Amino acid sequence: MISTDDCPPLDAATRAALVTYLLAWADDELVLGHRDSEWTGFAPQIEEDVAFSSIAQDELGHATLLYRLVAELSDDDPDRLALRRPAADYRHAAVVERPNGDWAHTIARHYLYDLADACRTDVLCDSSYAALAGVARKMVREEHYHLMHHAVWWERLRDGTPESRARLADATRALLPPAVDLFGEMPSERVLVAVGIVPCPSGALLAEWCLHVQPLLSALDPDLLPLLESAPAPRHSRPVGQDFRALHAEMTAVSASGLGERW
Amino acid sequence: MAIYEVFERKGPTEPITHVGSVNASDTDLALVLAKECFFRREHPTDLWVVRREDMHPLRETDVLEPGTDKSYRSIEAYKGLAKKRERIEAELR
Repeated sequence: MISTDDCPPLDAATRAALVTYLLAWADDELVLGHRDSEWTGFAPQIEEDVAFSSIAQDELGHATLLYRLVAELSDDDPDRLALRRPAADYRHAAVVERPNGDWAHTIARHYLYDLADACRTDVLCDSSYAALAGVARKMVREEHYHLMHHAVWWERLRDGTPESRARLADATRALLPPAVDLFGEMPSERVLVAVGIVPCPSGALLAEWCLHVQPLLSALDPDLLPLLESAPAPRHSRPVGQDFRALHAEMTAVSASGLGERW
Repeated sequence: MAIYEVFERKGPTEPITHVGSVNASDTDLALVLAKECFFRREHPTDLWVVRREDMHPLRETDVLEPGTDKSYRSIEAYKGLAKKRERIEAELR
């Protein structure tokens, strides 16, 4: 693992921009991983329960890598960043905090998210900031399995029964607009793109993601295609909704109880 | 749904080993499930799944039972050869 100490020092503005960018990404992974973990014990079959719980752990593992990097850059504590911030300080995209819904909604959300994440990690493997490139390269291999998993389920729901197909189409219709918002411009992004720390702006990643999503929509229901044309909302802070308030309370409960230190 | 038997190999020159089974609707799903169910901590070089129905059992299992005393074929029969030889040599002397 390449430490920030092994990288050329960043000026204060670039460092602050990178912290903002990475924190939003770490929050995406943490919140989605937590949602995933809610399936533990309830997945459609026992083998899938194990597989999906393991994917939940992978997402938390990715969040850990990112929080550690943020902590090094901002002289902070990864556990505080993950579990001891007020709900209003989290910067994840709205799509990852949505309740799981049914299995079709869960798979559709995760597939759309992981395709987006694959676009993001692929370009960040070439980041000019070696510590970030190292983290991205660590994630790529696991993400490959996640995509395989979701693709298999997506196809089975699409081709299974009229009901499974309808549920997948309904879920995808509801999820596409907030999934597009994953590519909303980060407040600090331009500073990072200018120096190659982020090799590609979010807008260009969105175009790449659409290339992967279009064939999926064409085969499921071509009426969904126009939903890809919505413009992503910028990734600014947004009011804390009911769903995230409840999720945040549960996610941080052990840490807030003070018992966390002794686990 | 069908039962798939899961096999692994830890390295290119290692034997193929049975590790367990998964329930799945088809081969692709079986592979995806087997990977996480059995290899969350271990990392083999190869992984296979086979439908249990596609494994051909020997029906006449009674042929597996020994008909006559086959103990002379087992390694046990050749235990302590050096001592036996010494004893025979002493007898012949």
